[in-house]
Amino acid sequence: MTDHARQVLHVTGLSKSFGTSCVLDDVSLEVDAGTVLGLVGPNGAGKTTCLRCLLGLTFADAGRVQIDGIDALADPVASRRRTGYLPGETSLYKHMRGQEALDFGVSFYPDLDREVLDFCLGHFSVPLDRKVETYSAGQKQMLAIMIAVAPDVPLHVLDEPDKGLDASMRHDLRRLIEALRRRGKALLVSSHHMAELDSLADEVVFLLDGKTVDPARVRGQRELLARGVRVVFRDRPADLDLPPGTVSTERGDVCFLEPAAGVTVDAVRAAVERYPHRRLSTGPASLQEVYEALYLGDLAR
Amino acid sequence: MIARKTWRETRWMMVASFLIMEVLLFAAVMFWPKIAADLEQRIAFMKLLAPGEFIKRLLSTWGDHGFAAYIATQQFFKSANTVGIATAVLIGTGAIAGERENSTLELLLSRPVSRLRILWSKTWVLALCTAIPIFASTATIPLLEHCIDAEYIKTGTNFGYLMHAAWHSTLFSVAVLVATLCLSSFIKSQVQVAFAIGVIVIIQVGLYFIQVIRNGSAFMLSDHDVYWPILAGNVHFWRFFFGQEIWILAACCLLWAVAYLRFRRMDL
Repeated sequence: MTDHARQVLHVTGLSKSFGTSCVLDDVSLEVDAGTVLGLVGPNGAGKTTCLRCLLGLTFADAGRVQIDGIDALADPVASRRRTGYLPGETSLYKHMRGQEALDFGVSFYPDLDREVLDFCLGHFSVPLDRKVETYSAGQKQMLAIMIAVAPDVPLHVLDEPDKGLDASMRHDLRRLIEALRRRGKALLVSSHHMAELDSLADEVVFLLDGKTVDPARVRGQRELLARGVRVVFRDRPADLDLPPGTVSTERGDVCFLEPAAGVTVDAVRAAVERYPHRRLSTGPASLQEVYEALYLGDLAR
Repeated sequence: MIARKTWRETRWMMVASFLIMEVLLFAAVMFWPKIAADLEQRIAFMKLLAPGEFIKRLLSTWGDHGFAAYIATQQFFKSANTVGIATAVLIGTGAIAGERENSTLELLLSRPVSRLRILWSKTWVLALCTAIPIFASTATIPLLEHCIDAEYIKTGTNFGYLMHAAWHSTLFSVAVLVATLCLSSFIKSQVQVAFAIGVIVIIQVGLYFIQVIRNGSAFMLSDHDVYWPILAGNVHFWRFFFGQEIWILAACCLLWAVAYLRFRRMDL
């Protein structure tokens, strides 16, 4: 087995309830070294609770979490020594200067990844000599990311790293994540930015109501979407003049058009292009489209 | 690192606490010659106004023993019991509830450090910040004593006895600090923790000033009748420690253990 195939995070049957409300139900995840696993889901799906359970910040009711071979639920301190964590809520001491906050955040780890830290210092425009309270939201987030990625650990858990970042900062973040992956780090990243995750993640896990969506269901939706035309009209026409037998299914403002047997996707596309639309796509479905299909209601075959 | 961070967060509050205690002490010491010049008449008048036997008794010690008894009232019964406790409550509320409210607890708990170490590092630094103003301010009493005419000082203060009284006063304030920490681990909002501990302190003060039930007040452990015998040299340090202070210490340990048990299993 090569180093890049080494399993760094292994989660099985993770469950958590707050009172009578079940937030996580039998969640399982796996992340190998040198790969990025994306975690997506609507607000309240349980993403943050899931990540917190991995680090022992929230106590799981059931399940197993192994980080770099260590039972994280039994020995959370040892597992945290192998995990860099970016909290979902900006979590910085505002009275500290940037450099102090960085030093404080990384001081608990035995080793730092100097190259990664130098990359951050070179690319992120974070004024470390100023107090954190004077930072913009984006600068605070970049500093929090630096604290999460600077330790030389095999796993980085990033909860919505792109929150509050502008386009150039997101570009820097993407380069950082790619650099971490090249260095053989395992990354678990939750995000609402589907396009970013689509280009970054090796695999994506969908969370819905605290449960991971069956990969077969995701695959099925992806295949189904790839067979038709996805369109968002400016104003939905009352009647569409489409090739005979085209099946139209609507989920929210997305209209999915599946051609009948013997009709090509291009023919349906040509027919629908005549109508004013905001978005029109064919071919392999993007993560955003799969997400919409899963969360707005599965498309039937 | 946690201890250093806590120290940096609370050191200015500690300095402010010392300055307030020092100003109160300075004013009290400078006022003493005026009281001492006409001591018996003033005390007789004050006794007429005093609502309880214990206050009359307090005033009698001023009359009988002069400056040292006055210091027991001003520095320990008054200043340490107000400023010391206020400091303990203010810094104690920020320890857990404050971190939670500022969303910094998640960063702290996600570091590879045990919750035991987090709580302990915070506790001892906060206890130090509670103790330093009391000890430092008390240490200046002999210096201030030299600023007033010796004829007004019937019984002077002894540095060793002053430090003993400061130790006892610190212990009492630290007990309040640990109680605040304990509440801070149960209640999410800093203001609510301060309110809860404020209510408890007010009830205790209320009990203290009702003659017939004042034995039920925690302030009986830190009043003039405790401090004056210490300053008079009538209290043996270790006998007092094992007789009374050990129970305060035990209460601190118990409250800290409750705070830890709660903090250890606290979900974010």
